[in-house]
Amino acid sequence: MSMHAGIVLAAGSGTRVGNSRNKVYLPLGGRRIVTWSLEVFRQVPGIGRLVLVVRDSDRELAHEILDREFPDVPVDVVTGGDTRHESEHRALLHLADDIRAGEIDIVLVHDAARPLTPVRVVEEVLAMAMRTGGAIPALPLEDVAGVDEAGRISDSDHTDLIRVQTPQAFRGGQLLAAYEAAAADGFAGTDTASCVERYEGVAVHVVAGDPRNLKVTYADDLFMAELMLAASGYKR
Amino acid sequence: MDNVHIVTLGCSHCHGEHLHEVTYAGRLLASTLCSNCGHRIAKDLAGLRRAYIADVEHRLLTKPGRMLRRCIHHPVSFARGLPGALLLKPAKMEAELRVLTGRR
Repeated sequence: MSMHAGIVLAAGSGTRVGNSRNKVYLPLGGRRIVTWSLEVFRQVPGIGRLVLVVRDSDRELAHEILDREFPDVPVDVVTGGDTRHESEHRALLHLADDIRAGEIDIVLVHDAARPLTPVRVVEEVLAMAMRTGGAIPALPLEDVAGVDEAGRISDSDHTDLIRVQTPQAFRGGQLLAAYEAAAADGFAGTDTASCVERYEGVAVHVVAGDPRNLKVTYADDLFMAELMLAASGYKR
Repeated sequence: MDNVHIVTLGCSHCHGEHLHEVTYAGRLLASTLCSNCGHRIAKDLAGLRRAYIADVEHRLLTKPGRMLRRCIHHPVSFARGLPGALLLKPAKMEAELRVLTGRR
């Protein structure tokens, strides 16, 4: 019987200046941000394989954190590339044999900098991907307005704009084929969905995202994330 | 865990990605400081102290379980690291107290 796999990308989460540490290894409510991001996959039935993609220089730190904060769950640590696309490709190559053998059905790709993703979002993305082949969570983009070339507010309709979140989920076979085709073409997508749409023609379906599924980007986000974790009793 | 971390984060004040000093009191976030513009976000000290006391109680209660789990999973590294951890504990506590008294 096949299972699903969760990939957490921690290799290239944002810019890094000088020798600063990757923000996903910051503590948050007693665990590292990356551990919370893995935790949500652990709680979803059917996700039986976890892959953490890290920079080569962070491998030792990642193993240390997993040993301490995620001791009972096997996690494959894979070295990523310079871009998100390359990191995804390397993670997929790591899973390639199991995908081809039909042991892995859906692959979910998640940003390590999203520690508060509700389990409901992962379950709905997974269920939709099982039905249709590809799904992403997103929120409607409200309070936006268009501006014309003269800098005036334009009345064009923006109701079709969405704010995309992760995890993004796809059938493993199609995802792997898309990334292999992209590698042959020298194409690097901005996110998982763009690559699968382009090479496999998968119609990506949108499920309801969640405002709590924030991506830690600004310093302020850390305080917000800690507050939300405390409000939930540090439980997911 | 160290109580000061240097990471790249976005700054909502100067609008760029810059090095930030992120300071913790134990497991609790205490402040962030942007190295580019000096913008500091900090918790109110009185509130931080109250939360810290509650958190220390929780840490003390769960410590035996956490130590036992590490001892079972990694007996060698646990035994090897224990003396160093004990020696460093006073310095770690002092660093936490400095944050709580606003001296850091």
